[in-house]
Amino acid sequence: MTEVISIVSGKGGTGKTFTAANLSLALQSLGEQVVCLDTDLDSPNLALQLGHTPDNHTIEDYLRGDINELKAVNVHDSGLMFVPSSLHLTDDEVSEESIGRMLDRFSGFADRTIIDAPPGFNRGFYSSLNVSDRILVVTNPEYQAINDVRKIVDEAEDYGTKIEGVVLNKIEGVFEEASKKEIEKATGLKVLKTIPRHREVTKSIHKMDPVVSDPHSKIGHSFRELAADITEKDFKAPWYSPVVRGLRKLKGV
Amino acid sequence: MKTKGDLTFRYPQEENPDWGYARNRCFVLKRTDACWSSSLFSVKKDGFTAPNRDYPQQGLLFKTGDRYTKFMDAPMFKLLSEGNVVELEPSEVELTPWKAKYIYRNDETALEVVYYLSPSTMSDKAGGWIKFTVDSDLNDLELVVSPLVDIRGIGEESPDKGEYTVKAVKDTLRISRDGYSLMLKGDGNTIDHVEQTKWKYKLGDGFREEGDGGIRFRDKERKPLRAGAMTFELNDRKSAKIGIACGRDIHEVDAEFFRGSDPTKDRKLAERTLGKFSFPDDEKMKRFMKARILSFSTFSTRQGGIEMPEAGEWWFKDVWFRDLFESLYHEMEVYQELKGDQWIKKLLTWARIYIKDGVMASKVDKSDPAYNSIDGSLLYLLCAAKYYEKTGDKEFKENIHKTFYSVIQSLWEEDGLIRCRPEYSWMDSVIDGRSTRIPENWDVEDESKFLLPEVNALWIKVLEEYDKLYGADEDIRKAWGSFKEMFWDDKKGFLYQIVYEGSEVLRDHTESSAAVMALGMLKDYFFGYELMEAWEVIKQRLLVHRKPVYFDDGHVPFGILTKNSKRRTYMGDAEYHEAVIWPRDSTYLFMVLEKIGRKSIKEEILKNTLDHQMSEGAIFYNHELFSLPEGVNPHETSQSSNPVPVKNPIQLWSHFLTDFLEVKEG
Repeated sequence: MTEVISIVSGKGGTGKTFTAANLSLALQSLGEQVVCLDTDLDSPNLALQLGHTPDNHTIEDYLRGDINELKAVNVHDSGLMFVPSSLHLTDDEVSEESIGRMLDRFSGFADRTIIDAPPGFNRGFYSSLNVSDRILVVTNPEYQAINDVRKIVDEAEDYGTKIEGVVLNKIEGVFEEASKKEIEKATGLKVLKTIPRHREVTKSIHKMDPVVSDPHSKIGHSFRELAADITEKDFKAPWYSPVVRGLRKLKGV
Repeated sequence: MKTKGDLTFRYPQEENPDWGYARNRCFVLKRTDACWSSSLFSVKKDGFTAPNRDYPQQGLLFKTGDRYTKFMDAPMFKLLSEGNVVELEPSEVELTPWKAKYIYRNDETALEVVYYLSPSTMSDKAGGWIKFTVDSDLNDLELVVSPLVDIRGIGEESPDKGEYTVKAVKDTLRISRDGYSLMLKGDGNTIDHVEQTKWKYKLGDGFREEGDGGIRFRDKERKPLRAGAMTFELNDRKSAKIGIACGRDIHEVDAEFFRGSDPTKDRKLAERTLGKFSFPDDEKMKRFMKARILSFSTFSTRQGGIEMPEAGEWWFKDVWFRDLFESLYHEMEVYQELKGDQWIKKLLTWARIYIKDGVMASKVDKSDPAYNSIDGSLLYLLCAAKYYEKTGDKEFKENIHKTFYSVIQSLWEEDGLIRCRPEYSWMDSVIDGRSTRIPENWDVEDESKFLLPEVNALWIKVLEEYDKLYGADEDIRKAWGSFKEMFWDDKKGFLYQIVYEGSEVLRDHTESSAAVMALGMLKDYFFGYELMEAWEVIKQRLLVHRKPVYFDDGHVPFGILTKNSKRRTYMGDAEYHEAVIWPRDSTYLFMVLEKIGRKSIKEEILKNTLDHQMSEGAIFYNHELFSLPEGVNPHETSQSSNPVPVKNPIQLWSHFLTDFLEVKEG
């Protein structure tokens, strides 16, 4: 039976797609067969983040009935399967029934399906809540963002969808930021991982090369740990001194 | 054929009327999702000359989205001197695997026309160029080029003139229909005059019929449009180059981009590719084999973010799983060299989404897939096991375990054999709702109760691989015991073609390549004397000979019949899997021949296959199937006793390589 996890956020720009792509790759690296589905029609960046240029077939082609569910499936070098999106549909055109049919079909071969859900509280968001077994909230350490997370908690409760926890992204470590504790207290959710606003992330997005692909990346290890928690598998990030890490990187180990 | 350099082959521009022009030669330039093809002779019409097309699918094609679209039928051209047409005679064609050069001459003038399809195809556009070079002392030379266009899905009728938009702006011609466009750009002037024409394509879709004069192909008529013209003054520069772009949403810059494509890169890439393989000392064989490798690497279509081989050209421009996995199974090492391990792994990972209840979809389709290829899922597993054997990739082995297990679970039956519908294997013709594989006199109540020898041979190999990977040996012994009992005809020393388990058990004694495939796959299970007995049957009932054109060998073995059936002349679907020769079957025959020490027969078949590749049909490629040369031939030639190429001229699984090659170590 395939488990469906949606990656959601209250607003755009939180790093939701970055999280979906890297978490999917991390799960795949733990021996799972994962399908990552881009339903964020306003900002369809999953394929780009995975280093793929948009192909002929996207989720739009499927939702319009031009192709079947399988034809929209692409494969990343890691074996991760993903369904890309493009900008040609509006949120109103996303049918929950069609998404459900697609997920049913994927259950034949996938251990887990990760949905990169649209940000905010639109139809796509509610569809994601409805079809998911659990959700993961991505947010930033801004005080305004806490309200969005609280709203997500309320909505998820209404839909009876379990919230796995929060990924707190783009932390700068400045005084003005909401702290992990404050967010946990205000939302009642556990912050599972904190991701710093780091050049490594910007570089990985710019180069269309996910951080998880880099075996030395500390942020990559954070996603692997998160994946291990989700799957209840063991993962311990190897520890190297900065000098050894530098030497290994130079040698391409 | 003359040769010029290692990879260039020169042919006369001529037709071959034997068996209704079945052996007419054509060039086929293939790139990812694109193809450009014309016959190796030219025709004249209204003062213009153009390379001919024998199939309505020839010309410039490109697949965008899910539609394989024909754009240009042919460029028509004429050379003028002082306003009068210079009469040139078609002379030769020089072919390399990546370009075609047509040469025309008279006493004082020579004109060369080069056709080139760029490797830089994108998901929505493709293109290339045509270059005209004149060598003449005539005055006031002018070249007029007028494209014959036919923008339509390859199986569709031609649209009417009114459906096109033709725009001639400065040096660019743009012809559009329904969102699809063809653009030509050169350094000449353009005009937008249009004229609808009619054209007969004499080989049609490869089907044949019996007429008054004998057997001929059912021709097809289409109505291409002569859409505008470009004129070039050739007095000083002596050459003109036209950039071509086709697809959706194309722009002038695309035509310019494709015009800049450089075939010297193809030569360098070819050298790099060929450097990975070893070749025989015989110069002719060596050159033919090099061309075969390079054309093998041109099978390519985009699916699931991967470029993978399609089943063949034109109406086979999709990924058909049994064709794909048969090719991958036989050519695993070649694919490793050409594409790399990661590509194979990615392909296998992607493809398993098309397996359901132990059965594979027949092909990638935009509508709901039809799950009707039981050999496809078994071949898939054999490819997966072979990939693991070659790479030792443990992660892949773990990953594929579930697929292995679920297929075996879905198909397993008590006696260790599997039953299925008769069309679920490669002989999949169904006419009036009944598989052509079922003997005509059989009464069948339940079509899911058939036992096919080749499917069960694949099945036993899958069990064997499963045992090697994960352990389960008792199942193999059981399955092999049942197989022998079910299929082996002790009296004849051969395998039945098909068995039906209804209220009574029916067995068909017709000799078939399905049995040869089973013998080949299970060659290590049979006793040597049994294989020898089977070889005697193959030799007498199935083996077909052919006289090579380029080797002085007399009539030598070429392939085997699919069935030793009474239907001995291919006309259409009813004979598709009867007494016809599919080169695809040869790979399984080789397994038997190797095992019984008849390597020389294998070598003769290989040589003869290369000879076909270079002498008839699509040069550098292999036909899908051949008819026996029986019936009334409308025009006898010295080749008339050879098997007759019919249906599709470019087929992936006919294009086997490993049996020819020894892959270089390291």
